[in-house]
Amino acid sequence: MIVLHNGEETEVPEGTTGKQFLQKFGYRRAMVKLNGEQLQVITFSKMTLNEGDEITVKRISGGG
Amino acid sequence: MSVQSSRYGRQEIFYGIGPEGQEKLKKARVAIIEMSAIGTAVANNLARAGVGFIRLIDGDYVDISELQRQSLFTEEDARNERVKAVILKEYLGSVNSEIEVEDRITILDGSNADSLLSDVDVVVDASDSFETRLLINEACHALKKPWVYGGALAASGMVKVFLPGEEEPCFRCFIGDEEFIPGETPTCATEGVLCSTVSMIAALQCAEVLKLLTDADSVRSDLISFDLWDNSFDTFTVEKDPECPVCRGEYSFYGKASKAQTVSMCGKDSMQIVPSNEGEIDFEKYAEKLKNRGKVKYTKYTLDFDDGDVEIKLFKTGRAIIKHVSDEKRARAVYAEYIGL
Repeated sequence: MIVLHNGEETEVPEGTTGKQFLQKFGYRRAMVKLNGEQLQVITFSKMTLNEGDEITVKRISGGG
Repeated sequence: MSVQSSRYGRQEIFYGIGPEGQEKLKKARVAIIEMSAIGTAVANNLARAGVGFIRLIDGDYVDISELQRQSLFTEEDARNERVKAVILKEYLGSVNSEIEVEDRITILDGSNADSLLSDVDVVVDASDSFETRLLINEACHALKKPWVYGGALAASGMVKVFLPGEEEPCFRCFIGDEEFIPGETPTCATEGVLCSTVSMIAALQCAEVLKLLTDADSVRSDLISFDLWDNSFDTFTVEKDPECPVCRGEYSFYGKASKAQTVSMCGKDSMQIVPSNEGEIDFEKYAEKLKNRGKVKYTKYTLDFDDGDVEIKLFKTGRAIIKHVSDEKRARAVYAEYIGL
């Protein structure tokens, strides 16, 4: 199925959970919004993604 | 002199600051941690805005690889490996002679945080490590100071004001834990960074600093996140973690005696050694000791040694940068042999 990952169409398997999604893209310390609503990473991780979901993930920036 | 033609006229006619706000800025005290790309831009902005006292905290020297983004340094500074805080003190003094700029050639640690941060109104984070930010967070929590986090990576950045107060989330609440696995977070050395990114972060941070110093009621409570390359601009809420040890006053870094440290220097192919007991090095004595082993030269701030194989930059406190070395053991061995542990 296709989801929007930071605005880009991205294919993920049906039934992908938030946790699997974050792992797939190597996110650890990050802020997450699902369809415009901010979620705690722990809450997002337990959810199952749906076709067309818009997922915004921003890594916590550490450079100076 | 009319407001229009006075030094701070454009700020004094701005509704958010005005003459009263400008007077507050004149009396204000700010510490900027690290003269990085963000730090130089912040220092420039705040000095021009008329912030009365600015403390520049940095223990590094200028490298050619930094000129792309650290906007106040020159090729000559890089050629002469000049100490950043000293250059900026001179430069900002020429930009605004009405303010006081203090250079502190050191690295913020658990044992010096009180002396560096307790007498300022706002602390600005321009560091490039999460460990330093965790220390800033603990120190500012203990000292009840507001601080402004700014983080950059490639074309993206984040800015958040952390305020003192029991109901306020802190940086530890934000990042979840302090156990960073080496390599888990991408860095500017691995992902790159644009000068535009750090300028944007510095601008956002400085606006918040001016609000804090003029008692504005519009200080941002949310976190700003942007990416200049994918054209995104977003805000996030940072929630308080009820289990956060820092919010309970349990600190891991602040107030702890500093330990001898050997750390890799971002983008410099060098290792930095910070001895556990920093003191006052007599450069004349060391130059005499080392002159038969290689080339030695020193200034008021640093001593450089080069024997064709080993290259060392020694600071007055005993901190040293061992160049062209990426192995911790080798760096410590060089330090022990040439400087003495």
